[in-house]
Amino acid sequence: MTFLQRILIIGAGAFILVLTFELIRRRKLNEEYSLLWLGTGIVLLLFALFPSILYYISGLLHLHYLTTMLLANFLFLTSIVLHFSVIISQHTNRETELTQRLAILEWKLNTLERKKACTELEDGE
Amino acid sequence: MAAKNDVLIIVPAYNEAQSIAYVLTELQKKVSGADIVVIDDGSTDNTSSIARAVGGVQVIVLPYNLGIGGAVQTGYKFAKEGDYSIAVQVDGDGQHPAGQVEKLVAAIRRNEADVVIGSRYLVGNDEEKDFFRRLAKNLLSIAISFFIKQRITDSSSGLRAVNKKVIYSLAHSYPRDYPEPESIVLLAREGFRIKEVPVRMQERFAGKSSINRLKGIYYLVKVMLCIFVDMFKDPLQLVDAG
Repeated sequence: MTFLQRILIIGAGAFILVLTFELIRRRKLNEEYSLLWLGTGIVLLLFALFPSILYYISGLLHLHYLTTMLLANFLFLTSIVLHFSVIISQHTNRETELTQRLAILEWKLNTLERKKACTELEDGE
Repeated sequence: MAAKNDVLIIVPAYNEAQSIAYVLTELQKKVSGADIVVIDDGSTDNTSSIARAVGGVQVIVLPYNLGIGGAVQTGYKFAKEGDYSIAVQVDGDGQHPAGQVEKLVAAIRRNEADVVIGSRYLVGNDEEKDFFRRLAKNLLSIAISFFIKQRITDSSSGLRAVNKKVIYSLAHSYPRDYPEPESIVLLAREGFRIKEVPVRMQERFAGKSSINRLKGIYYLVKVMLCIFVDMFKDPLQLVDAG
């Protein structure tokens, strides 16, 4: 790994860490979704600071070429996106459930209010 | 609320201001001993106020458009909460003749099946005129029949009656994307008995079919895919069903 490469990767890792931290601080990102990004930033930093870790892992997985490393990267990003699709689906289901309950509760409230208005009218007579 | 019956008619309606009053008065005229609930699926017209004006009908308004699946499921949740023994689904666009509802309810009462679907193709004289739509519907019905090992002729029919066990199941989980064909597969996988009875459908009173011809093939492929996946879903295990 050349010096420039290491600087670039350190920059990328630091950027991800700072950005994630800042988003949590501004309450725009929940902690539960931030761990993944903090982890990614830390791993990048580790790779750049101690390239031997990266060489050891790539040797272990027999990934010696840039293209296969790219593929691994692609798989990593794909799995993140898939993970988010699962979360989105979960939220859609919850939203539907809440909407339906809200509508039924609203109906109940209206019915009760009408009943109450009717009894008040009768009492007044 | 009026005196409560044990049958609930669920009428999902999305922008059906032109037809909803006709549908509701027809139902009130031709079906006795049933409560009616309209699920206004976030209509942008005055569907809900027209429905309320008809009188004797409960109207539930969804805050935004959930789609037919979410709307119908709201009806099943309402049926479960109200402890109804039978729920009937009738479209708000006027294509389901109110006179056929009692036939479906009777079949459930005689315990002929857990789910009774009104099929326009069992009669024979009500063929779809458009070739592509006929082909699509035939293919779909053949696929579903093959999957659930039972002949289904009208898988996209939204006119159906179900008993209490099925109300519980559907209130808990109802397919979102293509609810009519998908629910047949899912309910069959849960072991419910499904039966089709012949009904005569009417020309759509107003509005257009939600499935237009150009999108037909795309629709077919997606439904097939959904149904294929449905075949591998674990059937629901509900213990609290009545």
